[in-house]
This record gives sequence, C-alpha cells and structure tokens, in this order.
Amino acid sequence: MVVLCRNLSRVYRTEAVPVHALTSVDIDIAAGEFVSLSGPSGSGKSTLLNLIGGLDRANEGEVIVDGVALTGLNEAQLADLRLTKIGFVFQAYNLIPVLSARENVEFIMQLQGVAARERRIRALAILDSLGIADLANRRPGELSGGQQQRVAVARAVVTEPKLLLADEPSANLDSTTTENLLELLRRINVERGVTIVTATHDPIVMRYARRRVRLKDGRIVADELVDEEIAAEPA
Amino acid sequence: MRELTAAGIVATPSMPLGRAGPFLIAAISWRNLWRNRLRTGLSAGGIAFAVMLILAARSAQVSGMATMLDNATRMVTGHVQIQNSAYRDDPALRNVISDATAVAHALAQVPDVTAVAQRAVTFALVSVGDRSYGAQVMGVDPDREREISSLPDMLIEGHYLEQPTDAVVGSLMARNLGAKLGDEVVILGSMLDGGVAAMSLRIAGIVDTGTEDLDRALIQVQLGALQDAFGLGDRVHMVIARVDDFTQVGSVVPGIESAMAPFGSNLTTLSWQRLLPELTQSVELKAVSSAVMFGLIVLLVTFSVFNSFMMTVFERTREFGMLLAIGMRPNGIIGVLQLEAVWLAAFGASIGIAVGGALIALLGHVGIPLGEMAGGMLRRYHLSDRIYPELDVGTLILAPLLMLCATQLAALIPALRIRTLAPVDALRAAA
Amino acid sequence: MPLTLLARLGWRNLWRYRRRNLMLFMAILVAVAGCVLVSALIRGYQYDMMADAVANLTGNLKVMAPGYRADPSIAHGFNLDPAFRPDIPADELIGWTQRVRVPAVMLSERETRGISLIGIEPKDERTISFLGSVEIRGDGLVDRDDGRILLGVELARQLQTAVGRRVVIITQGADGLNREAGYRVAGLYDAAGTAIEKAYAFTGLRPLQKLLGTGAITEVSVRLRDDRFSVLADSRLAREFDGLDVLNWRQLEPQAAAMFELADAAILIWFVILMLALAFGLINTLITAVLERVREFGMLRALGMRPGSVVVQVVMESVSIVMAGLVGGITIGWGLIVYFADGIDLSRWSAGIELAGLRSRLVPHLLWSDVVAVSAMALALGLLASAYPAWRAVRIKPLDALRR
Repeated sequence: MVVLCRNLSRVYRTEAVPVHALTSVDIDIAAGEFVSLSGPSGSGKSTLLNLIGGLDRANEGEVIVDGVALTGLNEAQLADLRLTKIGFVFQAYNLIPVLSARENVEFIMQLQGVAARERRIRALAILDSLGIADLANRRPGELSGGQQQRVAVARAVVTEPKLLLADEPSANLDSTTTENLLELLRRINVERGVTIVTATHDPIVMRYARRRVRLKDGRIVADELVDEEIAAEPA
Repeated sequence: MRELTAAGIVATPSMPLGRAGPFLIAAISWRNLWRNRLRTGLSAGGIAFAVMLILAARSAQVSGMATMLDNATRMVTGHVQIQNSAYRDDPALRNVISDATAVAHALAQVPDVTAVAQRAVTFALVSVGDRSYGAQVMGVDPDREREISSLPDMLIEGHYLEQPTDAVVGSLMARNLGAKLGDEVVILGSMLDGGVAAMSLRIAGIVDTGTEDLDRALIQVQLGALQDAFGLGDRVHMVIARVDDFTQVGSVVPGIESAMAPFGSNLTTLSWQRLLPELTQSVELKAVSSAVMFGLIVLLVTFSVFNSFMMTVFERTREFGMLLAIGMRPNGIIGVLQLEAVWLAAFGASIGIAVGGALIALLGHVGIPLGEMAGGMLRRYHLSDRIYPELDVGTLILAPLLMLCATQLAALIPALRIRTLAPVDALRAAA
Repeated sequence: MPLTLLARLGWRNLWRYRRRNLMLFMAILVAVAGCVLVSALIRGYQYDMMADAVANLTGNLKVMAPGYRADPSIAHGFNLDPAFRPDIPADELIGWTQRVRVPAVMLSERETRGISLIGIEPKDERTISFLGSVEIRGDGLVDRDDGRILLGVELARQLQTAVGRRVVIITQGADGLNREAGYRVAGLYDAAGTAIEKAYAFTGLRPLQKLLGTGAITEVSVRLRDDRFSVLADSRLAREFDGLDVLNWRQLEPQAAAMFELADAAILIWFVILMLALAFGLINTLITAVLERVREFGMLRALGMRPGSVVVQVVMESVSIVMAGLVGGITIGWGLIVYFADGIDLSRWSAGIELAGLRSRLVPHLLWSDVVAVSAMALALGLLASAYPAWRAVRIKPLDALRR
C-alpha cells in the first residue's frame, strides 16, 4: 500500500461554527492506482488530498504514506517527505514565475541535491517525453494554461515520486487541453507506475480514473473500481 | 458592488459619482490610506522621522546661533555702531567722530534705539611695574556702558570704573602683567597731535569675559580721562546703539542713517552683521550646509513615499478600472489619490512635530550640555556651556510644508498613469 | 538548500519588479553617495584644520617651559644645547626648529601695533612651517643671523609701512627691562589675510636673542610625517627635555582639536540618520514583495522547501539590492569627489570660515575607513530591514497560501 488512512477526521474551527471537513474516513490506496476523489463543494475531497500529502494535519486518525506515519513528523520532516516521495500538481500557481520551464523542473532536483549535469539531462528528458521539449526555455508567463500544467506534471514526476497528487488540475483549462493533460497522466501512471490521486469535480478527469471515490459532507459515500476498457474511451 | 463599498463609495442612481461631495471624497481618501496599515504606517513613519529631525536639529541650531549672536553683540560690539568711515579699515587714533555728544544725542532719538554709549579707542603700551604689553585701551562712559554691554557684569574682582584714575583690565592681561587689584598701571601712547600721551591709573576692577582674546588685550578707562590724555577733546571713535530686537536691526538702520545725515558724509552706520562678519557668515554657512543635509533626507523619504504610491496604484488597478467603468472621471480618481497623499503628509508631519516638539521642550528644559570637548571652541563662539533650545517657528511651518509638497509630487507621478488606463484592461488585471 | 539556487531566485525576483526595485536602488544609491560625499567633505575640513594648526608654527609637537603658555615672554625661556638633535627616526621626522617668540610693540612712522615677534632659523622654517609655502614680496630672511624683519602683508598695510622701510620694536628683555631696536623690513609674506598675518613678524634668531640679552629660546617645534607618530615622539622628547612641557597640537590649539573630534562624531551621526531615512522605504518594498508572493511561497513550501530557505530568500533579496545600491553609491560618491578635487569655493564666507578653521577651498578627503563604515551600515540595514518581512514569509503555511 502506498497510502493508508485510518479514521481520519479534520475539523476547522472558525469564529462561528466548527466545520467538519472530514469525518472518520478510511481509505487504502495501492501502488499503481489512478484514483479520483470527487464530490460537491465542501465534500472534503481537497481536505483529504491535503492530508494525504502532508500539507495539513488531521485532528484524529492516521495517515501512512509509503510506510511512514505522518502524524509523528515535524514540519521539516514533512517537507522532506513531500520533496522525495510525493509529487504535486496544483490548480494554479504551480511554477516559479522567474524560472524557465526547464529550470522549474531542475529546481525540484536542486532541492534534493542532485548534481547539475544529471539535473539537466533528466529535466530535458522528462520534458521531451511529455512532448514539451520546445518549451524548455520559456517562462511561465510565456506559456498557456495547458502548457503550464504540463510543465507542472513534468516537475512533479521528474523525481520519480511514489505518489502524485493533483488538486483540481483541469480547473482552468478547456476540454481539449484537459483531455491532453489527462492522457499524459495516464501514460505516466501506466508506463512509470506512479500512483495518482486527484481531487476533482471535472467529469473528464474522473473518466480517466480507474478508481472513483465519491465524498459527501466529509464522508466517503462511494468507492468503485471501473473497467479498464471503459476508462480509455472518450465520452 | 463589494468593491465599491470597500472603497467607501455608495452610489445611488441620482448621484453621479464624478461629482461626489467634498466631505465624502475626504472621508474616502482617508479610509483608503488605512486599507494597507503597514504600508501607510511606514510611509508616515518616514515623513515623521524627517520632520522630527529637521525640526529638532534646526531649532537647536537656531537657538544656539541666537545665543551666540546675543552674547557676542552684548559683549563688545553692540547692535549698531556709528564710526568714522575710514576707521573700519584703518582703526587709527585720528579717524574720529567729531561732535560726538551731538551724534549720541541724535542717535538716542531714533525709535527702537534703547541705549547709546560712546567709546574712544587707541593702541598703547600698558605697563605695570617693569612689565609692559601693547593693548587696546578703551575709554568708556561707565553708566552708558552698563546699558549696552555685558562686560561690566563680568567683574571677578573689584568694581567698575568710578574715578577718572580707575582702570579695568582683563584677567589674562592682569596675570601677564603680574598685576593685582590696586596696582598702579601706566599707559603710554601718542596723542592726536603727535605728542606723548601718558596716563597713570589704578586697577579698580578685573573682568573675565571667558574669551581669551578679549581678556588678554582689554583695558577700559573713563572716557573723559582718555580724551584728555590723548588730546581728543570731544571726539570718539564709535558711538554704539542698542536696539529693541537685534534680529530686526535691519529695519532700524535706515532710521539711524537719516538721523546721522546732518553730521556729514564721513560717518558710517554699521550693523552687527557687518561688525561681526565671522559670526554672521558662520550662521550662513551653517544654514547652507544644513539645507543640503536636510534636503538629502527629504529626498530619501520622498523616494519611499513614491515607491509606496507606485505599489498602491498597481495593486488597485482593478478597482480603478471598475470606477472608470461605472462613470468616475480619471481626474477624479487622481484627485482622491492626491488627497490620500495630503492625509499621509499631514498625519506623518503631525507625529513628527509632536515628537520633535516634545524633544525640544525636554531639551529646552534640561539644556544641551555642550561638554568638555567643546571647551575653548565655545568661548570663541561666545556660547555658554549649555544651550536651551527653543522651537523655531520658521522650521515648524517650513518642514511640514516641504514634506507636503514632496509627497504630492511623489504621489502624482504614479497617479498620472490612471489617465492612460482603459477600463476593460484594468478590470482584467491581476488583483 | 543550495545557496546558489536561492541567490538566483532572489536576483531574478528583483528583476521581476523592475520599477520599484529600481526606485529602491536609486534611493540607496543617493543615500550612500550622500554619505560618502559628506564624510569626505567633513574629513577634508578635519584634516585641513589639523594641517593648518600644525603648519602655523604649532608643529606636531612643541617643547616649552612651563608657564610660557600663560605668559609668553622671554622670562619663560630655556636653554638648548647647540648639539641637540631630537631622538626621532629620520623617516618619521620632517624637520624641527628652535624659536624665540615674544610679544612686542611695533611702531612704524605712522602707527603702532601689538605683535608677536619671532626669532627663527629661516632654513628650518622653510621645511616645516607655512613660511615655506607662502608668497613673499621682497626678500625672505636669509639665515639665523639676518637682522631684518619679515612682516605680514596685512600688518604692513595697517602700519603703513613697506619693504625697505624701518620699524621700531619695543619688547621686554630677559632682565625685565624694556628694549628698543630698529629693524629694516626685508619682505612681506602673504598668508591670505588670516590672523597670523596680522600678528606674526619674523626676524633672525641670533639678533633677537642679542636684543633680549639672552641665549635662551622659548620653543622647540617638531614636524612629523604623520601625526600618528607623535605619541611615541612625545615620550622621547619628554625624556630629553626633562622638566619642560611637551605639548602636541591638540593641546596647543584646543579649539582646533575640539573641531577635529566633533568631525568624527558628526560623520557617524549623519550616516545613521541617512540610513534610518532609507529604512522606511526599504522595509515597505520588502514587505510588499513578500505579501504579493504568498501563493508562490506557499507553493514552494508545499514542494518541500524548508522554512529557513524562505527566510534566506527574503534576506538575499534585501541584501542584494542594498549591495547594488552600495556599489553604485560609492562609485557616484567617489566620482563627485574627483569632480570636486579642486575643492569647493567658500570664499564668500571668508570671515566665517576663518572662525571655523576652514580654508577658502574645502577639498574633500576620502577615507577608505569611512567607505567601509558606510558599507557595513548599509549591509546591516539590509539585514535588519528584512527581519520583519522574512518573519512574515516564514509564517506562510503551504495550505493557507494555496487555499486562497
């Protein structure tokens, strides 16, 4: 198991009323799965994703990622975990504006201390394999939304993480671009064995996920595996 | 709509935004300032710092200068002197003022002149026992002298001139001559007509002015006695006037000059500024160098305010786009920004004045100790060893005004970009 | 977290907000250039003051009899061994001389004046005092036996005398009785109308000693290559002249010394003030830079960047812009100093500057220690100003930033 969650609860204390974002959630995710977490606004899908990624701490329950329990870790250790084991693709603001695409990809490896030559080779390789090698020297400001997301995926994947978490990756994209992006993710999932978990309300995204988990009001209400064939066909 | 109310504007269909009332604009602009408390606080802080510094430093400086000038003029030169026009360049015995009594009388009639005294001065050899020194011998009228000079108050021994045979000497001169109170002193010089002038006197008093140059070379005798011994008759070398307010002496001089006109063209009227050029120029020099320094500080603070407004304008681009879209004129928006600048300057300057004023009040009470270090330098500048600064009204008005203008300019340049803003682009800009 | 990466990020982020960082850069440049120029001008004043004090017959060190300062007459003289040489290494010494200086009355045909009459060794004076550099109309004194007199131009004017004419000197001799002698005016020296010119008259050492009826002198004056040598030289002379006073220029000219010390304090105060004035704008810009990049910082934290690295990034941005401004400011300041190398003309205030001890041209004098001081202060400012912004940046939690 790449991800193990037991009895996960998250409550936000606001001024008025405590918000129960997640209540007693259990979920296991195996290596190589492509999972979508979906549900209406406020269902807790993003919260669950953030907890898995170590960006947030649960009030109750446990999260274990690749054998490591997150609850006992301090900020620095969580940061290291995010750096080495988990890749992130956010809805927006994925890239560092002042670095080029290649440099953004290299950046994550620099954080890990990879040597310059190797960094460069790997960065260019990943960009190439995702079909965006020609964008290598452009800055985010010079890229379209879809291109930015592809670079973000390249950056998320170049460190060969166990887990890729994507929070509403298609929110700012049109449907064709979304299809292209998701195709990319599927390839990574199948060819490199990267476990992917996405939080989304976009049906196109959900279609690519073989395991669809639905949440409502902070609880899992559905968790179904879908047939490989159906997933590959466009709607 | 939310942004409208955030900006403090509530629009009703009947009120065209382009012409919102002055109080509303004032309130809006004030509140706008505080949307970003930290930034406004820092900008205001910079302005306050500049104003406080300029106010406190300049007040202390001006007070120091004023004390210096007051002491210096009180010591010897007086506020205005009438002299023979040749005397200044050539202070020789023969360059006299004739009809001295009449001149003194006429001078006393001039409005704002509060006291008049006459002096005759000559260089002579002063001997006590077998020691002698060259010195400036000054013949004075003791009663008049007390009115215009602080010297008679600086006696450390004995008394001021009472008898025609009395002499008052400076402390250093007494020491150098090895003389004590009561010793006989002989003065030898040349008479007006060339003969030998001799006076035999007793030391009646010793003064300590604190100024080495004076203490070493000063000896005063009665005017009449000097005039007799040196064959001067009624003549003197200077007639000195004291005026009400020595800083305004320039306004009294014309009156004095016309009063002196009947006495012929060989008399000249000299104000203390001309008599003490080294002090006058010191004041000017200080003023110039201070202006440069303060100017630099104002410039730096203005940079900060400029940057502040530049950032603000950029951040509010969407808001401006919205205002333009709903019908506000660009100049109206610029007006609001300029008003924000006014509020900022006023706020900052008020703090600066409060702190600076408090500082001056405190120092004015306690005094600024000029310290051991300054020592002899003080004497040279005629300062006592503590100065008690007062608030300088000129700077009080000028410094805030200067910051106000600078702030207006600093805000205007970024604000002008609003003129070229197209509403539709602005609305799409990043918030 | 590799420093080069952070440095690169910091540098590029500076360019991202070109306009406002340019403003900040210019502000720092102006402040630093101002500091450099002001310090150089004040130093120029300070060093001129010392140079003048030293050259105006004070020297770096003087030996006198106790009591001479209060009563500068021949009664307080002392005898000097003709074989005397000061125990000071040759590379520290510019020169030395002996003098007799007494107050006297000088009478011309028309006028009388009180003066200071100084018997000198003309050859020595040329090396060590202002007499070596002033313009002389007529003849200078030839040697220590020259019985003529050298007056200031201004004094001559007041006495209405001229080269070749005679003056009479009355002064008190060693026995306490007045002496009188006639002198021919050999020449007039032009010291720009200063107080010296009106008061100092020079003649040969021997004739004056003869007039006074003594072989004694009133002072030995020593001129060193650098004033810093005076401490050691002082103690050496004190040993050689046991019982006499050895005084340095600061003791002899306390006003000048006071001004000198004041200058150091003044420079420091101005540095602090200008840096403070700069601080407001610097903090403002840095804070804005952090707050508008909350999302970016959050994202970096989410990716795994440590909180400490965020701090380093903010500090680096602050320090790099300060350094840029520093380099620019020092360059401009130095350029201005070169431009004003001939000095700033102050002759408009000729009387005032004399009181203050200035010369009629204020020549700036750049001390590298001052430049170092400005740099240190600017860097300290950069660090301190980034403290609050960095603290704000650290507090950005990845989650909060992303959720916005």
